[in-house]
Amino acid sequence: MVPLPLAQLMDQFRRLPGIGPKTAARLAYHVLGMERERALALANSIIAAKDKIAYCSVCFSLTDENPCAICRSQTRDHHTICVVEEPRDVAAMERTRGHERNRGYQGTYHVLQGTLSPLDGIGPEDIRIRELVERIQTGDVREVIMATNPNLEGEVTATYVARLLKPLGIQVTRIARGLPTGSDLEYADEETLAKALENRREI
Amino acid sequence: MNVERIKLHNFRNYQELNFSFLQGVHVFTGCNAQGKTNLLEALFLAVLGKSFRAGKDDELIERGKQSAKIEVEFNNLIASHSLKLDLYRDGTRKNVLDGQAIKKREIVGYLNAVLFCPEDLWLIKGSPSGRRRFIDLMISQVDRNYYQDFIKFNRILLQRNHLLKKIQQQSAKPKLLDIWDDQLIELAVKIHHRRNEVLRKISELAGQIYAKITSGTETFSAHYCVFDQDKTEIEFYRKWYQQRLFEGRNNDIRRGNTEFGPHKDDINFIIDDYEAKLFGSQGQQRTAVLSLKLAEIEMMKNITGEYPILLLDDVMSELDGQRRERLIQEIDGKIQTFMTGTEIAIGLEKVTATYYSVSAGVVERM
Repeated sequence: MVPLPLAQLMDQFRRLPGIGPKTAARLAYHVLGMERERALALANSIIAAKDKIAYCSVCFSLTDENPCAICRSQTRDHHTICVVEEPRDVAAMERTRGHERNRGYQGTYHVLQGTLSPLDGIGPEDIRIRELVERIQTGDVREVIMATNPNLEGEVTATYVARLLKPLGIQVTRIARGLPTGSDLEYADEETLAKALENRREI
Repeated sequence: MNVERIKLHNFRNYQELNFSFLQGVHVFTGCNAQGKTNLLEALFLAVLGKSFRAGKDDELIERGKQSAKIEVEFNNLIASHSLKLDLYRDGTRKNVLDGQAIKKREIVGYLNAVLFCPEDLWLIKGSPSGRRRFIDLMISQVDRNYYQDFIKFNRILLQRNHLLKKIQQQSAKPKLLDIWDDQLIELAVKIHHRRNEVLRKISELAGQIYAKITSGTETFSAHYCVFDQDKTEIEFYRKWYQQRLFEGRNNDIRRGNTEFGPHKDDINFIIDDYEAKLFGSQGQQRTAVLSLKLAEIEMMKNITGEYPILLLDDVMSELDGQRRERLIQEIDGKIQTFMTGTEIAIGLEKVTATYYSVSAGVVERM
């Protein structure tokens, strides 16, 4: 028999995404093996993250200050908004900047917090599209880059937002689709290759 | 293309099975409900990743067991492969091809097969869905782009139908349909074009075979139900479908379902200028189905450069002597064939075949 507190801990881990019963048990036993301080630090970080982090009222990314550092920044290009699905996509885009602040993406973001999907009951009013339109109407935005995922729902959402924004007289672009750098042609799937061919350019 | 080995563990009524196969014809005989068709089903799982008769993996696992394993080793022109499928009660599964975990949809295209079972005799007079399945299954195996488009099309359809229901309940605006329609049309054009292209070739091949079986006294052809004329149909079809979707929009909303598109299309079979669906006799239907199946085999050979394997589920007893002979002529010495039947070797007198008896989940070579 597993003692109740241990079983409860396993159950908590099990509810996390990507964790099955075996991994949950392994994690729970690992936590038991930790020094008390380490375990406490883990528990405290969970609480601190949960309490201090909220959505930015401008871009709806995650932040511990409102508005977030990117939205407040004087050095970022506020004429450009990159539209993504989730806060973790912001972190991904920010990786293009590396350590030098003058390269990679310089603009700001807008997190939709989802995509259109009638199947899941998600329509335009359920994601942050209205807030995006308001931002564009009140600010001096020149380009919106649609960086939703290149799957069906991401494409449809990008098309929807683009059609909504075009009449406002701003440039709407879509990030390119193609082959990942450092990959091999022979391992690329047919659709990716077809898109890469379609979007080829002169060198 | 050949299956070299099959291993089963807790699959249907097979606790353990491990058999290796050479080329040629393999005949599984035994009484009813002993597990003959289960063997073909296991092979077919390695073809399409799903069963040709069970809806859920759950049904494939032996009663009282938590998981089933199917392992199929096969070779094609390019390489030998080993495909392992682990199916679990809770609906999850593991697909491993040559040691690498793959998605269910990635199984398609390595082991190609033509399946011929008694239900196929309904191909001519049965519902359109059977005829769509016939052509989709054939193209999907030899054209992975088609299969991906097909999956994507069905996903868009599912999304669109959900949206239609929401619009019906007035919790969404009809204008929202525009973006889904654009995607739907894009995929519909591709699917229609490819089906049409393949069906023209099938029609030609099946027509030749049909003429041979009937000694040239009857003609047979197959046609796609919309825009089957020639190769310039793509733009016509696009405009036509666009308009059809647009005009049908209110009707679609009322029904909460998309009423037009490749998912509703049909194939017309013509025997001697008459629609076989309405006027074909029993004998003509059987000849037509046999011609289509043989054409399917040739078609796959033309595209991939090698013959698929053939799975015949209790078909020999459904065909008369002349048609049986025709079928045997086509497969003998060319196509690795797995067939089931309650009686031993109807019409197989002239063929060197390997025989197996199947009894309560135990297979023995005879």
